[in-house]
Amino acid sequence: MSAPSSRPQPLMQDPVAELADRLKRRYADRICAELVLPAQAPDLVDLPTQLAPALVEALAARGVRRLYRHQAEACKLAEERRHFVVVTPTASGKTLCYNLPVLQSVLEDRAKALYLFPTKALAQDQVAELLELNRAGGLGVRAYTFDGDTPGDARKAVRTRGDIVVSNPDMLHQAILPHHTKWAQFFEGLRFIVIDEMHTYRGVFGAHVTNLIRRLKRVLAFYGATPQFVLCSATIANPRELAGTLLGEPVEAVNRSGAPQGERRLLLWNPPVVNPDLGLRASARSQTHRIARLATRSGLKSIVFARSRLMVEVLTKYLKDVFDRDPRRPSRVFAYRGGYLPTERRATERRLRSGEVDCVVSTSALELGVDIGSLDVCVLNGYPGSIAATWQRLGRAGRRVRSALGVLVAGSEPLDQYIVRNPDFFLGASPEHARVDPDQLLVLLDHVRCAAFELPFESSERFSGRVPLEELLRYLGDEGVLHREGDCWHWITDAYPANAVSLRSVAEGNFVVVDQDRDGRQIIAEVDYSSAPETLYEGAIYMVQASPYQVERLDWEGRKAYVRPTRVDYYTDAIVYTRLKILERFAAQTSPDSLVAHGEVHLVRRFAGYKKIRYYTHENIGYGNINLPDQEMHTSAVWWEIRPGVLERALPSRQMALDGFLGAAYAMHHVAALQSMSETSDLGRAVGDGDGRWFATAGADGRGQMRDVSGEAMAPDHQGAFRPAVFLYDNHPGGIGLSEPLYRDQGAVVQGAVDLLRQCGCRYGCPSCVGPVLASDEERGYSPKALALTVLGLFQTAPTGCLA
Amino acid sequence: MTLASRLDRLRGREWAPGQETSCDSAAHRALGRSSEEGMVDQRLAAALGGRCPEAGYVVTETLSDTELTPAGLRGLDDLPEMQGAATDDWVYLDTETTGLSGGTGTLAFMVGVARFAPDARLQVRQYILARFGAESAMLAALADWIGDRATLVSFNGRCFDMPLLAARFQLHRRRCPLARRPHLDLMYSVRRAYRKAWPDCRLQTAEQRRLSLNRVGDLPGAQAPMAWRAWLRLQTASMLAAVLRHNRQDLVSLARLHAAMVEDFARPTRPDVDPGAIGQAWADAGEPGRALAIWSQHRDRLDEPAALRLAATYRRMGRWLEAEAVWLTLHRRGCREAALALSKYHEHQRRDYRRAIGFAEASDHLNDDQRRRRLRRKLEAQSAGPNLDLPLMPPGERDTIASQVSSAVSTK
Repeated sequence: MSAPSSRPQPLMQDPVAELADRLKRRYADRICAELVLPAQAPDLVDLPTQLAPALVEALAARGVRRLYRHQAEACKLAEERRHFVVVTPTASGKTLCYNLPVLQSVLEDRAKALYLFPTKALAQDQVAELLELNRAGGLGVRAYTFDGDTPGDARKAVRTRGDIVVSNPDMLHQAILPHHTKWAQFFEGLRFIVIDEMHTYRGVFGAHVTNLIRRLKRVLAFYGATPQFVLCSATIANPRELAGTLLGEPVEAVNRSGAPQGERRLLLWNPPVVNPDLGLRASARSQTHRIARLATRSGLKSIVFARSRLMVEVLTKYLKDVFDRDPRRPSRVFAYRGGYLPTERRATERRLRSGEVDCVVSTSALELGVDIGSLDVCVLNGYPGSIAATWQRLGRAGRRVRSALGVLVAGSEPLDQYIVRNPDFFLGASPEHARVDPDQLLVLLDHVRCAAFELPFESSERFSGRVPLEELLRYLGDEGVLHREGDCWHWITDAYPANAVSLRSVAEGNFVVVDQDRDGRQIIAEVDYSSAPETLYEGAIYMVQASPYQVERLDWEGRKAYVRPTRVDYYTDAIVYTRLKILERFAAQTSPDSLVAHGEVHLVRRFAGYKKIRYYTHENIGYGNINLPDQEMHTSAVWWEIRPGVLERALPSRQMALDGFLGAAYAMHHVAALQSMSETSDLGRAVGDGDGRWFATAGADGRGQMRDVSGEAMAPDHQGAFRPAVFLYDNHPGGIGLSEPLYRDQGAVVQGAVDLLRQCGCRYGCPSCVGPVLASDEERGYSPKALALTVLGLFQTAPTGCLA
Repeated sequence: MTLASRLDRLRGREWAPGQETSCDSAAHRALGRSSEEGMVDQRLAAALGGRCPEAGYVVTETLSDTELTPAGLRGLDDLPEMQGAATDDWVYLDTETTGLSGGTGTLAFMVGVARFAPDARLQVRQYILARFGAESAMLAALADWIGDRATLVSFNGRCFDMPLLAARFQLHRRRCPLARRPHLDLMYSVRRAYRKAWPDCRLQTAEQRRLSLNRVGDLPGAQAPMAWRAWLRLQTASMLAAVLRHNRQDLVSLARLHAAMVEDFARPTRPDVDPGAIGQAWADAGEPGRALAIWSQHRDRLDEPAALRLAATYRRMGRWLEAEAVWLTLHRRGCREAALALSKYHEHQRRDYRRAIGFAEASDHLNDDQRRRRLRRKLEAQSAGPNLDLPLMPPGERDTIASQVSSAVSTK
């Protein structure tokens, strides 16, 4: 909660502005654009008259005598009993928007409220804050957290005595709804459901949470409760739409903040060109390192966001090498990311709040509203993939009423380059739409199972918007999971379905990383199933707080990686091959030259080996093997093919075709990610024949290489039929609804890729358009960029027919 | 492509649905069409030897021999958990459910309840659901039969049967009459008495070891859910009949076990009963006299913590010599805590510092050094000056110990 403050602006030069000016003077050629968001004065209104006197007192005790305009608006919507979503910047006093109406209803009617936060840590922060307000006014409101840490004997008290229960979607899914009869009293009195950090509920997680809310509403209807939903979100383009999808009901939006804001500057930074011919730029990492170093030297507190866990560790190491050389002094630089043990993360959060940390390097893990105190500078190592995430991360600096500086350092990826070259797009554009496809079949089926366990289904009931419920019920009936009696479907097996469904993607279980040197066996980190094969293969260097450990043994079945501290001057990066097989074509558009289709594919990912990369020079100093089972999944995809005769006429050699397809795929992938408002990791790309017979990758020489099922190189000219295709697929089992809209909008994907290539200043192609191109490419006698444009041109021809 | 085949494919399953399931559901559909619900109810009633008081569920009634006598029925409330609960309407309860995981998707398709008839035979009544739709009516009838005077007796009912039935009543928007009734969960009594001697404390184990009962041809409890599914899908009642027999046997065992526990808690003479734990149960229930009597009577069979508790009880009562005897026995077995107690006893009660030092050495307590230094100081002072610290216990008192012990025992 942030109380309106009337702190006078300091007259002396602000150190943040000073740093910004220094950067601008020294690196004018690297700064593509600067955005200054002026300080904003508070927009205050009087407290609503109907507010309970005890609540007015509690607010006064916390220094709040008037409300920001958006807080008052929220109170009014609550009064009118309408669902609403609050979308205002970080630290604008969002929590009061729901705490006020909720506390009011608890005090007046002894009503109950359920708060849902995406993580346990956020829930605990929230209860602490509620309790402060409670204490300040002697309100006597009972707020409890209900999560995995709540002891068994305390759970009953939470259910029966809690006015406000603060939990998370996973608990609602696994513990509350399947035992809803124990919560009967709570549900019957439930007036408010608060869903904070709503923007995190997109993609697969969003699909799960939407279905979870459908289940919650079914159970609430059983108890005759129709509570009001209050949602809060970071800035996204479509808060009302997302909230509406999550709830399946219309939702009002409160989106004009009345909170004061210090001046904020944002610099868009493009690393300098180091090889003009190849269009190669210095790495984003080196620039990020430099800016964070300057900020820390200037005595400013900074946060650095990196896009991968590996990059967090590399950057932390480099910064520690500068600032934490003396082991006798307390560390000034810390890393923060998923995979660290909760205790370690809590300790870093504590240090951040108490101001002991000068620089923290993080993944998106700190993007959410964990209270980390106030920071001055935020450096983004690479474009986070969406405008919403960018603003969310930049918001971590300057939370209080003081100025802040953000620097977005572009990487060499096409998206990054597009953003810094077209600053208007970034500065002018609205943030992305957060998308959810709750009717994704596998997710839906999982939740229909859980819902049937909670309450029997009536055939006439509605659950999903698109998929006929009765067909799903019949499917589960044929499986022997449900039993039909009249028009009612009952759960019939000896199973607890919620245990088999994890809301957060794959449920195959986490891997633990065990240090064999410390006490024999100490767990030092956890890695989720999907990233384990890429990070914990035998021989991998795994880093924790920038200390390298080598994986000696991976127990795949037991989900354990045994590591030992090591001293090496390199890190490792896995080489992953992906091949696809088309299972079913749902729809296709054809033209005389090409075909675009959408359907279901079977995907096999093979971990072929790893590269050893030396620190600082980043040269490749060796390879190792990875012996891991292939990862398989079924998902949906959109793909582009060129008719064989046309392809041969346009591109005389198969090698050229491969290079063209790979370049086109690279550009299309990035454009599609931008267009579908997803992160590039949610959308996969591949080039292959669609039969799973062969696939193509860029080899060490930068040239396209054809590989067979086992990953062995093949000679393209010695094969029979040759029908390459570009695939873009949903990178989650069962799909998450990205590829279908891409198919509908396929013309825009191809056109966007063409524009990207044409606008790029390089001659032969570069990492910013068609992917990395080596110097030797000049000797090929053709330009990969031109080949990619040829392929894209053939994709572009107007469709003449439709195939079902 | 149909939704079902898309789902199969997405889940990486074989295209054709399993033969068995499709046969099952086909058979079910055929039956569902051809037979009226009433006829189905009657068929189930006939197969189980019961009747259909209302549509959708079957009730069976039997009288079972319990090997108890009418006299044995008196004093069934003489258990630590039942102190102060005057009751004579015992209702034994056991459910068979569609699963063990709990939650609202699990239901009791069979509820067995039983009361003693005046002739000490057990009057067993079992409710069996013929279909989901009749659950509400069945629960109402069950609640009626149990009535509002009953004390419920179960095995693990506190954590399993009761919460499950409470959820079912809640789902049918009925007040759960069972929640407020007193409840004796025999599993806790069995655990207290036998945990140390038995590999586990399941009902079957208690039957074999305490009631010398070996079931023949019993349906494993885990197959119960399958039996009801078989009835629902194929309307074959043979497995259900086996579950019915199993459930009835559970109830008879429950009643016999109840009487056996009363016996064991009054006189823990069986070699596998732990008298230490039994005495503790009485002590926890506010019956220190009974605890003392049991401990002192079975002092040879007490484990170390129980023997220490016995000695501590004596100490609190000022019966020092009996306490000393227990401590000495323990000390000879190498118990350090007993040595420490003896050291304190000789220091403060007997003022025999030489022996106190000896015991302090035998104990390995943290404060030992301090204790030993203090004792040596006291010993030196004692041997230097005239010996004013006479032993507090008159020499003749030892003779009265035997009579005290016997009076303690005869208090019960």
